[in-house]
Amino acid sequence: MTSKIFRGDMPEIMEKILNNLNDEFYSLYSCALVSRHWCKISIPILWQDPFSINRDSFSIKQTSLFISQYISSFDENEKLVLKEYGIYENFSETLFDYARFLKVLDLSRLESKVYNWITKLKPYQYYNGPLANLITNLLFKLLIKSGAILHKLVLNLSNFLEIKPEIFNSLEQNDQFFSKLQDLVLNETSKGFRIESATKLLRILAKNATKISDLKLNRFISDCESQLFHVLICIINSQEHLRKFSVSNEESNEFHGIISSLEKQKSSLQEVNIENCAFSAEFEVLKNIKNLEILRVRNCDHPKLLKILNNKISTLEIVNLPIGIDASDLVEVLEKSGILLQRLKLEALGRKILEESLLLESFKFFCPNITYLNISYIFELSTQFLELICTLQKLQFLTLDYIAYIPGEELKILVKQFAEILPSALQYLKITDLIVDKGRSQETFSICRKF
Amino acid sequence: VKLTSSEGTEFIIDRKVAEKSVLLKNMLEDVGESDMAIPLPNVTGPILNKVIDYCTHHRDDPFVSQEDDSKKVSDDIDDWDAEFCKVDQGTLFELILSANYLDIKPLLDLTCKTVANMIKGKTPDEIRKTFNITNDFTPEEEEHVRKENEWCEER
Repeated sequence: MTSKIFRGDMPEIMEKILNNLNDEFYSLYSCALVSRHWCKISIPILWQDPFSINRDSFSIKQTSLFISQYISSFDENEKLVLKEYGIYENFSETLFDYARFLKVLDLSRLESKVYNWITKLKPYQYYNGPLANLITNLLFKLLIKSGAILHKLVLNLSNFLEIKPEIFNSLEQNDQFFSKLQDLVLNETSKGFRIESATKLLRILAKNATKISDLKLNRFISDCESQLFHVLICIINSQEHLRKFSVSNEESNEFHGIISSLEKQKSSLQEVNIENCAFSAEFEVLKNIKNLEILRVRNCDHPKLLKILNNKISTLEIVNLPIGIDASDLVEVLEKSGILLQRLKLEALGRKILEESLLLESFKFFCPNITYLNISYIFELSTQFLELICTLQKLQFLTLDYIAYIPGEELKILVKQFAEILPSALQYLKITDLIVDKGRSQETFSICRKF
Repeated sequence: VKLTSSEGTEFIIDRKVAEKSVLLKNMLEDVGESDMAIPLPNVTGPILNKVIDYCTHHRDDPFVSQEDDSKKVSDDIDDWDAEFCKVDQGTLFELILSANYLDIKPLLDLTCKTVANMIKGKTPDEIRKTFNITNDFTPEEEEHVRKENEWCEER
């Protein structure tokens, strides 16, 4: 007998089940063809983020076909304009108002799908710029006016879309479009094309989007006009509950008040990720972020940043490829975090971690509750080292890269000793000898598994 | 805390275990200390037994709020949970309904993920067979849905 979940009695549970397949296009497509009820539940999920369909198992041109379903919802005047550009396709009425289901929008992907779609229709026309821009704008307007409510928006600011004035009007009139935005990614915040358009759009966003919980500034470059910095500060200030903030740049230490503005979010921020940023006094704001639990610092001046911290961290990731990591810079944060520290990743490929023994002693004395440990790399896989690791009785995931060459038989003995004292909670183990090939890692793992 | 299943079987569990269910937690807060059993007319004994197993195993897990719906991934099920879900389809669906009724979000998430994994990669016909579903599309409707969504048909 069919469960009542699938008969249509409990659509909210069926939606919950199918939401787990939100990036499985083929599976959702199958669901849409099972029955009328399954179709009704799966289509809105399938169309949440059609622009992200990957290219591995789908041809590029095929994945742009969905643009036609959107165009079917254009009004007659808009379809007429397409004809003027030589597009005479018959866009018949669709079963669903697909535009309304959109939740994730990456404007660059929208542009690129439109280009692919045009190329499929007009393979012999080489310059499609104006037509692509026209269709992208019409689609953007359609999505805004359809009643769609975005959850995620990705904008590439350095090469921004040439936005027609009516788009801004539509955004002003349809404030629901950004009203539930949770995730905002701004790439290439650099002096680029049409930065005025981008700034104007972000200004509307700052007004209408107050639910952003995750803000990423990727490749933030500080050569923009001050208007852009101002609007970014407005966006941060206008959020009710920003939980996660990420910034990466090209080693400039100018942030124009953007990092300092996180002060407004000091009660809600839980996670901060900083990558390739030169140290700036603006990072002093980290000291005031009361509930910071997760800190990831990649290729920055991590000793200075860690000194600022005043918090107990549960997840700490330090990656420093160019300079390396000295354990003595970490002791203070390990001591402060103490029993709350659960996940730790240290990576300095090409350089060993200095003061290894100090690091291990710190684990032993301050952080016995570590469940995830990933260190790359240590110099020696000694018995003493392994014993110290094994004092972490809650350890579930362990990844270690080491560099000292240990001859085969000696390694086997060492690994057997290790296997005997491994914490019982351990579920995942990966030990790699960086000198020898990866087969050794597999061998180590197999020996440990036997115990 | 005393609970009674739909057939009248009584279960006695720790308050901390009972409080994994938001429904029971709210009831206990409203009623306060009491020896009266809480009737659960929508949950059978065997299913309630499984639910208690789950809540006991996860009694120390941090509370997950409704808002904590970070990106769903259907393959991040740990070993104990995967073993817990190795039950027949009927039991799995009963667990979903009970988790929903008792408002135990992590159990609802787990069981829904498990069903999603049973769907993953299947053709429409395989899904129909797996869950005993009748295709009520007309051939024209089915073709229409196929045509409008052919952009995600694997080639």
